Amino acid sequence: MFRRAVLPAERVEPAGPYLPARLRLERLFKDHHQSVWRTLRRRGLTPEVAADVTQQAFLIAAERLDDIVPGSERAFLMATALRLALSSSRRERRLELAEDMDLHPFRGRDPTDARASIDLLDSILARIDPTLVEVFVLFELEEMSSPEIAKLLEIPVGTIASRLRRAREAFRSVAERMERVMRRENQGS
Amino acid sequence: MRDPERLTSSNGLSDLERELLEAGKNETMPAALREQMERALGFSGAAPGGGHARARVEAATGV
Repeated sequence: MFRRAVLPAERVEPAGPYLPARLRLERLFKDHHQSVWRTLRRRGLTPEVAADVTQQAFLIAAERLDDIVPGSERAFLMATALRLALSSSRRERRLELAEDMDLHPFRGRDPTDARASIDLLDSILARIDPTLVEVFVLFELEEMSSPEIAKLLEIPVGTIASRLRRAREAFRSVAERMERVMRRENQGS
Repeated sequence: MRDPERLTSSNGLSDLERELLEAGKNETMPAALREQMERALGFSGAAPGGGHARARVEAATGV
C-alpha cells in the first residue's frame, strides 16, 4: 500500500548550470525520479518495469547532462522515459481489460486502500486512448503546464488543450460508468 | 493561453474521481526499488552494487 506525503526532496528547484555533474545528477534524481516512475506506471508498466525504464532514463541523462538546459530537466527525463517505454515491447504490458467492464477485482473495494484506488485508476486509463492519457497524466497528476507538455511531446499547445479536454471527458465518462456498475453490484451483493 | 484549473482543484468531481486522482498523484516508488536504483546509479550513501549502470554514470559524470 502506498501512502505519501510530499517529500521535501521532491521540491523542484532548477539545477545550477555550474553544479558538478555528479551532484547535478543526484539532484535530478531526488527531484524527479518519483514523477518519472509514476508517469510510467500510469502508462501501464509494472512497478519493476517502470523502475527499470526510470533508471535507463537517468543513465541517458547522465550521458547527456551537458545538453540538458537547466530548468528543463524534468521535461528531458519525462520525454526520454516515455520514448523508452514506447519503443520497447513493454507497452504490451498495458492492462488488457474486457470491454464489458469486468469489475470483479474492485468489488467490495475499500476506498481508503490506496493500492485498490491505483488499480482502479489504471484500469480506467487503460480504456482511454494512450495519446490522451499521456497529456492527462502529465497535466492532472504531475501538474506540468501546457507549454511544458507541448515542448516535451513536441506538439502544439493547442493540441495539448484539445487532448486534455477529450481526456477529461473520457476519464469522467469511464469513471462514472464504473461507479454505476460498482454501485449496482454492491446493491446486489 | 492560460492553463485550465486542475480537475482536483475544481468543484463537481465525484468522490470516486477525486479519490482516484489523488491516489494517482501520491503513488510512490517502493523503497526497495528506489534503493536498488540508487545503488545501481552509485549515488552517495548507497551500498555498492549495479556495477554496469554505475560505471556508465561514472564515465558520464567523470567521477
